[in-house]
Order: sequence, then C-alpha cells, then structure tokens
Amino acid sequence: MATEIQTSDPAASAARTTRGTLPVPFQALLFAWISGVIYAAFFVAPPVKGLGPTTKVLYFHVPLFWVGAIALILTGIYSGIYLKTRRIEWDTKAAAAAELGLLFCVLGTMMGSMWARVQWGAWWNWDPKQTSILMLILLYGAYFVLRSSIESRPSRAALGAVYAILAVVAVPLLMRIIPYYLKGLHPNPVVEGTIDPEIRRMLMAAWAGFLGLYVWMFRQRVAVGRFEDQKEGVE
Amino acid sequence: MNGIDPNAIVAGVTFVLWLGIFLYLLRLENKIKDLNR
Repeated sequence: MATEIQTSDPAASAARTTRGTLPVPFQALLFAWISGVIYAAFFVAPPVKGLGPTTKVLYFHVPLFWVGAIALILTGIYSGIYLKTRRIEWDTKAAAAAELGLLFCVLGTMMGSMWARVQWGAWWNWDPKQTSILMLILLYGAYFVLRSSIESRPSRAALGAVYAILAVVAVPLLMRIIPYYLKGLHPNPVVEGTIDPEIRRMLMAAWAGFLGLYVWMFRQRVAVGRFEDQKEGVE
Repeated sequence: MNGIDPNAIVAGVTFVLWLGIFLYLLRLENKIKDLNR
C-alpha cells in the first residue's frame, strides 16, 4: 500500500526524475551568461597593457583555475564528511569534485600554455606558477591512481578520503602561496590590487559563469556516480 | 579572406565549442532523467 501511494504521487515522481539535473531556467541562464562572457571577452573587454589582443585568454584561463581550486577544496571537505558519516554518497561527491577540479585545472593549463607560446616564446617555461600547477595536477592524478587500485568500495572511499584531506593542503600552497613568493613570468595584478576595475568585473562575471558550469557538471557526475554505486550494490 | 576579422573567427569557434559542450550536457541531462525513472 505504501509503495502504491509513493509511485502515484506526481510531485515525488517529478522530484525523482529530475534528481541530479539542473532546472531548465538555470540551464538557459547559464547558456546566455557564458555566451555573454565569450562576446564580452572578444569584443568588449579593454586590452591589458602588455598583453594586447591576447588579453581575452585572461577571462577563461584565470576563472578556470579559480573554479578548479574551489572544486579541489570541496574534495577535501566532502572527504572529511565521508570519514565522519561513512555514507558513500559523500565519497561519490568527493570523487566527482576531484574529477572536475582536475579537468578545470588541466584546461586552464592547456590554455595557459598556448598563451605562454605567444607571450613568452615557449609552450612551457618552468615559471613558478606553471611548475606548481603541474605539481597539483600530478598530485590529484595520483588520487585517481590510488582509487582505481582499490577494488573494495568502502576501502577505496576511506583511503581516497584520507589522501584528499592531506592533498587539500597543497591547493592554497601551490596555487597561491608559493607562486606569490617566487616571482616569475606571471604578473599578479589581481592579488596586488592593481587590476583595472572593468577587467576585475569581467573576471568576476566569467568566474560566475564557470562556477555555474561546474555546479551543473557536478550534479550530473554525482548522479552518474550514484547509479554506479546502486549497480555495485553499495548505496 | 580579405576583410574578415580574425578576432571574430576565433570568437565564433569559441562560441561553437561552448554550444557543443552545452548540447552535450543537455543530452546527459536527458539520459539521467531516463535512468531516474
């Protein structure tokens, strides 16, 4: 009788169907927002002194790393919650956040490399920021190597969580602290506060768009992870 | 090719890339909804 009531409830049925998806108005807003960012980056944004026409890369390269950093920090937080509650959904969220964080960082690095080729004459210069982000990518790549080597789902979750909590210390260290003190080729106007207000506004808008994209991709990845857990019989 | 702004070409390619990503995510949305049922 309880089951009949559940399946005939349209609100519960709709909620179940849309679990892990983004409401359509937000999808439309995200599409318009990022389209606007692309348009503004190419046709509206003023060029930065010294960067010239390559300025537009700034509005993709920098926000990708900002969102990547948030995702990797969330990996540590979700891992901590998993160790406290031992509920597998938190490990699923941690792995999803790590995947997306790594993806965003890799994309930012690729974009930066193309930019470096134009600005600094080589695809890779061992600049402190380039080197430290490479270390971060290797660190989180190792997180997935660790996870894939453990067959038992609870053990994978526990060991992965411990690793992620330790690794999260590296995120501010490698992305902000070390590059700040080791001067290299990267300029630092955002941190130093000398950035043009219009450029800062555009960066914030681009960051908001990429953050929205991350949220959408994260929800989808968690939904897929949940199906995988159900199939394995661990949820 | 004379008179075509290279900036506009790159902007167009970037937009098409974004459109492709967006449509892919929409396709995933529908698959997730199907699996949820």
